[in-house]
This record gives sequence, C-alpha cells and structure tokens, in this order.
Amino acid sequence: MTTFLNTLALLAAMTLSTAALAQAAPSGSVDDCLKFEKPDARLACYDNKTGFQPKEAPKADERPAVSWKVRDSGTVSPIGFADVGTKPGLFQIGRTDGVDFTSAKVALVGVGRAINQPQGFFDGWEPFVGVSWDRDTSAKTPKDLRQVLVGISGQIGTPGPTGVSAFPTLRIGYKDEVKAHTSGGFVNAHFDIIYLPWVNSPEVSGKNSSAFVPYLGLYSESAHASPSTSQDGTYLGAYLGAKLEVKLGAIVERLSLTGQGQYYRDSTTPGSEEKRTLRFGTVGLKYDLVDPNAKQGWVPSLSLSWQRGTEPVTGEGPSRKTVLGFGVKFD
Amino acid sequence: MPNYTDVKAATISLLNIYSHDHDILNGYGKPVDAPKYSAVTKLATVGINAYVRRAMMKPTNEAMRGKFPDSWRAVGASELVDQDTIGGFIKLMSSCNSLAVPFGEPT
Repeated sequence: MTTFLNTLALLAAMTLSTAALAQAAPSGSVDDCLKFEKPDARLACYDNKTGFQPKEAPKADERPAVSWKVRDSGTVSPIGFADVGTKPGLFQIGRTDGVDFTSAKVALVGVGRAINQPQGFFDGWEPFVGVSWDRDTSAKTPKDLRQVLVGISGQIGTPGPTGVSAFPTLRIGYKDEVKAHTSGGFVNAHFDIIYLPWVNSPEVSGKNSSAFVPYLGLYSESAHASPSTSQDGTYLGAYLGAKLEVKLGAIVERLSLTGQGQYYRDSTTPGSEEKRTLRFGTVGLKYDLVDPNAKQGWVPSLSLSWQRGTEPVTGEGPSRKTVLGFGVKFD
Repeated sequence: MPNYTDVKAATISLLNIYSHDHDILNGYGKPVDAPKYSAVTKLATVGINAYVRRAMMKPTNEAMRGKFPDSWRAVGASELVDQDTIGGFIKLMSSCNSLAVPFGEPT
C-alpha cells in the first residue's frame, strides 16, 4: 500500500513538473519572431523564446561619482562648449616679437554627479574641482600660473525650443604666479546666456553651422606680491563678452572658426591703484584630427590663433601673438 | 520602476520638442528597413547640438521627473552634453531611472 501511494505521489509530482515546464517553455521557434516588423516587438519575442533575462537594473549611483576631463583650463566652467574651460589642453609653439616660444596650458577638471533635489533650485547642478597649469614664456613678462579651484555650475530657467536661459558658474580658488611672485585667492560668478535660436543650427555634413553665446560676470581677486606690496589688496570688476563658433563643414569637415571678445572694468582697486579697463580678443581656426564627438578617449586637434589684450579671469595676456597649437582633449 | 519602453518613448518625445524642423516622434524607427531616425542618429544633425543639450538640463529633469517621479535621479548638463546620439541619450535616461537597457537596445 505504501509503495502504491509513493508511486502515485511520484506520478503526480512528475505530471505537475511537466505541466510547469510546458508552461515556462516558450512555444514555437525563434524564427517565428521574424514576423514582427517593429524592432521592439521582435526583440521582446526573441527574449521570450530564448528565455533571456535582462541583467538586474543598475543603481542610479552607478554613474561615476566624478568624471575627469582634460581641458585648457578649469577657469570658467568645465561643461558645455560655450565656455573657456571646454577648449582642449594646449601645447603650443609660436613666434612673437621675432622670438620663438613654447607654452603649455592644461587643466584636470573633475565634475561631480549632479545634485538630486526634486523641485529644488539646485536640481541638476554639478559641483567640480580643478587644477590647472599655464606656462607661457612668450610674453614680455613670462608666465607660470598654477591654480586650484572648486565650483558649481547649473542653469536658471527652463527654456522651450526657442527660449533663453542663463548658466551660472560660481568658482572660488587660489592661484600662484611663480614667475611674477604673486599669489592670492579669487572668486568668480560667470553667466553664459544661451538663446536657442542662436545656437541650434543643425550640423549637417557639407554645410556650415554657427553658435553665438554672450556672457557676463563678476571677478574678484586678492593679490599678494613679493617682495613688492604696492599692488597688494582686493580687485573687483565686471566683464561682458561673447563667443562665436562657426563649424566650416562646407569647406572641410571638423574645421571650425572661433572668436571671442571681452571687455573688463575694475570697480574696486586697492589703495591708489588706478581702475583698469582691459580688452581681450581672439580669433582662431581649429581642426580636430578625429571626430570630436567620439567621446571616449583623447581628441587631438591643431589650432592657429591670433590673440590680443588681457583677460583677467583666465589670466590670459597681456599678449599680442599668433600661435600654432597642438591640443588634446580627454573625456 | 518604469519599464524601458516607456522611458524610451518619453526620451524620443523630449528630443522631438527640441529638434530643429525634424519630426523625430513620427520618424523614429520608420520605415523599418531604412529608418529616418534611429539610435545612431547624431543629435547635432537634428539641431540638438552641445549648446542645446546643455540648455535641456532643467527641461529634461522636469519632464522626466514628471513622468517617473519615484525613480528619476537628476541629470547634469555635462552628462547631456556628452551624449551625441539618440541612443546615447536613451541610455542616459534609462540610467537616471535606475533601469537596465535590454540587450540589443536601443535600436
């Protein structure tokens, strides 16, 4: 009797298992999936037929906590194409006032994960840190500038497809000019203004496209010179400028023309120092040796630029030079 | 947890708003044998270049959080700038929703 019951139980278990298997096993062959024309439906069919199980969903924080980028400076903002800190790091050779020179201008910028603040003002803003080195022996006063900085960059406004928005970048840092024996802290509030109709021309092969981005900001630095102290103290000023980028796809793919003009005026200077009015302009041609949109890895480029004036925010100048440069950008 | 198909559809709808004279919504994946727009379409070719993607930071966070309030984690402008194809954008939106991208996707 016991044996009979055991056999019955075994048969019942086998029947149930077979039923379960029959239910789990997909019917038909994978060839049946070819009847689905929509890729989504076809893929879902293949997954079903083959019993494919997608990997467990990653956690959102699997995005890197910090993304590192190599640029020309960590000066204004590490993001976007419309700001100084997005140009590639530069190693240049040139000739100025009849004298050959070489220079290096490179920064390492780390961009932190975006702030998650639902309904908050800082939602999506990105903190960043940077170190930069700018060495240029071509100027009448040779330069060897080292900076370390922290900052945050974000957006004000929610533009529609033809709207306008401001992009503030707030920075605080310390810089040391080794050759001039000056050092001190600085604070900068920079605002790019993006009006979408000025920047959204499609970049189609064989055609030119352009983008125009005005900007403004406040800059303050506390300078300490050694051994002279006549210029020591706090400088505060405001600036206004614009950048233009034209991608010359109608001439040569990956060739672009860039221009920038800026006006700066001191509002506060230390002691009896006169208020400065500083103008700066640059026009350049750049040719990317590989597709600049190939985001993984190094993007080398060649550039030829003409530069005049002084740019206090980035520490450019005073200069009057034409330079041929080899740049490298890393994402 | 949202599903991938919903996130993909929401992403294409969002891109369609900012594309320049391009109807991505109705042209994505169609026709099947030679789609007008697909995952490999460069965003810059439809007017969504790096400047525009940077400007989309707030709109993207607002739109995606509105659709997926429980799973969405904020995306930054530099992350949007780094994605230069429709497929890259879809993957980023999935990641911000803690969502795995099915094998073979985005197509």
